[in-house]
Amino acid sequence: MGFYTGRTGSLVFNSKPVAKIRDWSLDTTVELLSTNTIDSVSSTFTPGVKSATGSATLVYYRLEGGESASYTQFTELLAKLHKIGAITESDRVLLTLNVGGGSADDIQFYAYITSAQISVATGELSVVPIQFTVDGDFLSGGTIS
Amino acid sequence: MPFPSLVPSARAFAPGDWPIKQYKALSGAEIRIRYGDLRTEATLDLTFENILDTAAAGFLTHYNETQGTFYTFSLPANVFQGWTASSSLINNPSGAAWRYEGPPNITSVYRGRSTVQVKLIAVV
Repeated sequence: MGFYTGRTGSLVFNSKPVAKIRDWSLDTTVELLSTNTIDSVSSTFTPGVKSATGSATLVYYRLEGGESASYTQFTELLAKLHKIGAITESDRVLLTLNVGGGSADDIQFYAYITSAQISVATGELSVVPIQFTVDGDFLSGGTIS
Repeated sequence: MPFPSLVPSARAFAPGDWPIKQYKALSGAEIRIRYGDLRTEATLDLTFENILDTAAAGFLTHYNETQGTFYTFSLPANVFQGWTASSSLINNPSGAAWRYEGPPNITSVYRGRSTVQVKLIAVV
């Protein structure tokens, strides 16, 4: 398949890609536990807990007639945080990030939206940048392979 | 089972003192009487960070075998690794032996990994 660009990327929620997304990113890290001893001359580690956080910029775009069958509107994600009342476990979302369109490019996980911003500026498209934290491990088959 | 032969990740040693009693007169003059000729109550605090649980369990086994703070024991050379001067300087004083000052403290930090803290005191 060769190179990929943002043109083929997507963020899927509720089994449908979110309409008009500008970008997404995912950062996976592992906490390293030091196994240094007093006589060590170089740091040594053993792997600890893995975690992942990410962000996406959704365009403030209202679906037009007929689009709702194919796309998720940004409000469905925004409503997981920007809402009246407490955030509960029911606000955990199943997200699928995809780089290139094929299932081998899928990254699938549960996450909580931890930050949502609504950004409006003269001369620019209104956007909704969000940040999320992955809850649990990546789902089976949900890593780039 | 002897004391686990592991190299600690941190070690703190205090040399203790001779058994001395101090008396102070109303004038402020101080008189000291030494009741023994052996230095005693040296302390050694050891930390074994992020070791395998199986290795941490060795400390519990050893603590059981010494019946807690009751029996004394010697320490393996690994405990003094990283100290480039004579290890006898940070070991128990001559004529004394180590015992547990209290139970080892084991903190589970990750699946299969624990941090163990041990406090020892040298007694005659």
